[in-house]
Amino acid sequence: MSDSTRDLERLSDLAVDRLLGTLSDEDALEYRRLKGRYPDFDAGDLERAAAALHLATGIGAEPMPASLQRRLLDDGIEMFSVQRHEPPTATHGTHRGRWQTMAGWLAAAACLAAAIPTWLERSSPPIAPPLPPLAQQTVKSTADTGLPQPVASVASGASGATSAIPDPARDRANMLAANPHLLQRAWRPGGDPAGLQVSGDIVWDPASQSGYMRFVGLRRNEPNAEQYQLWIFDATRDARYPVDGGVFDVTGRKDGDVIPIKAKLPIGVPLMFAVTIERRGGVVVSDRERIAAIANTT
Amino acid sequence: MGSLIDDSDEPLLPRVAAGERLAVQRCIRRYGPIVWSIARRLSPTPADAEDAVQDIFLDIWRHAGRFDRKLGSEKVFVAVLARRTLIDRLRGCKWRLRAEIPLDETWEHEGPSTNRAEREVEVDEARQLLARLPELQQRVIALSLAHGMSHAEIASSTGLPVGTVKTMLRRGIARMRALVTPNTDCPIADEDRA
Repeated sequence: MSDSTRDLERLSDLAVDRLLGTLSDEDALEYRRLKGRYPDFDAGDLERAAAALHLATGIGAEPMPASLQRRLLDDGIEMFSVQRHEPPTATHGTHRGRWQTMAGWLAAAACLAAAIPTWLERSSPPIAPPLPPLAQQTVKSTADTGLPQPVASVASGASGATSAIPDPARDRANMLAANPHLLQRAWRPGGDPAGLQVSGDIVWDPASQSGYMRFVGLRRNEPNAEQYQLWIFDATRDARYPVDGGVFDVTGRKDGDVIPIKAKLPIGVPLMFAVTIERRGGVVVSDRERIAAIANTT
Repeated sequence: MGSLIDDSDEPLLPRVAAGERLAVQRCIRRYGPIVWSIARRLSPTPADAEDAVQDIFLDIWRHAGRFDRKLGSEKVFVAVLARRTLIDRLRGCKWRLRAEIPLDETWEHEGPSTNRAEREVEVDEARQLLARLPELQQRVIALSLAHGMSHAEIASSTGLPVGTVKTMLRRGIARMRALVTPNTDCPIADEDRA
């Protein structure tokens, strides 16, 4: 058996574990390594196979509760009638009142649209220009290789430039050094007590659609209870549906946390970045009751 | 409202993608019972299952335009989305799994140029495959896929070593993959019948 055959069989095994949700952290690293080596490997085939087998196990088809069906029908029709051309931008909600909350988004659209200019009136001043370039080439974040990688907080600080360990702080510094024209704005408190002392900044590269958040003074979260979530308001999109920028954790270390941005859709013209506190895993639509930090771009 | 279950074969997802209200309604009627049935077994509580079903239908509507009949049936497409959401929720890694397996990777690649356009038989093929497997392997697959049990939980339930559970699952799904994906070599021989 050749090495590549052995690798592909191992990759297939790991992909199965992954789609079953049973991939260990150690195996996840191996999966990423092998997936990087064999980018044409299609896990989608396995996912479809698992779904077909699942349907074949005799699960049947049980009528939904009438109340649930009515809710889906009513809200589905409402959703398509309202946003036929602009489906929601985030799909990770878990809380029970999601549809009601979405309706709340829709109902609050006018308020949100009005709120943005209000927030912009207190816009953050641009950060001073970054230091002169340290390198002449753009260093691509290891978090943006397209490989599986959770959004994780990493304390800022220097590390070996050649280290293979993901280091958002280092990658952020390299990004700034390589491109002095990046969008860089300061965080300011959003009103929630967790962000009262927040400082730091956000760096966004429109060309690569990547960036980093750096937080100092943002309160450490308890990941099992709640997590921070980034929302990006894009001038080219419906203001009712900010783009989901990723769920993340903050350690609250004095030297700060640097988190890569994981925008789920292309960002045209970012107007504002807002960090909310949500339940674990994030939400589809934020009720914006707990805004921890805001960074305006104008 | 009519029957709660729509068993017709008329394609719905392209119409859903176009925003047809009637198609949205029929999509819920046709696939709601299947999604609900899957969700009930992969959710800790009925309330959680209802939440999950709402999430799943949101995904269905968002991605309806990406459905490619050449790659499989609507039912399997829906089941993929349902499983993804439910496994995410069950394992507490919802965000990560979604981020790591973009839908495009699953549904927007160029499939084999075989005549799959008329095929909506994956589930029948899967039933036939299951029937050919040893009863214990069938049980392991059902406990994992339909009930979301971990390897350790299945091992505890069946008395099998964890490694054997893993092997049975991997081989079972790999065999199914070979069936639904023409030109894919099946790495699994008949030894897993033993």
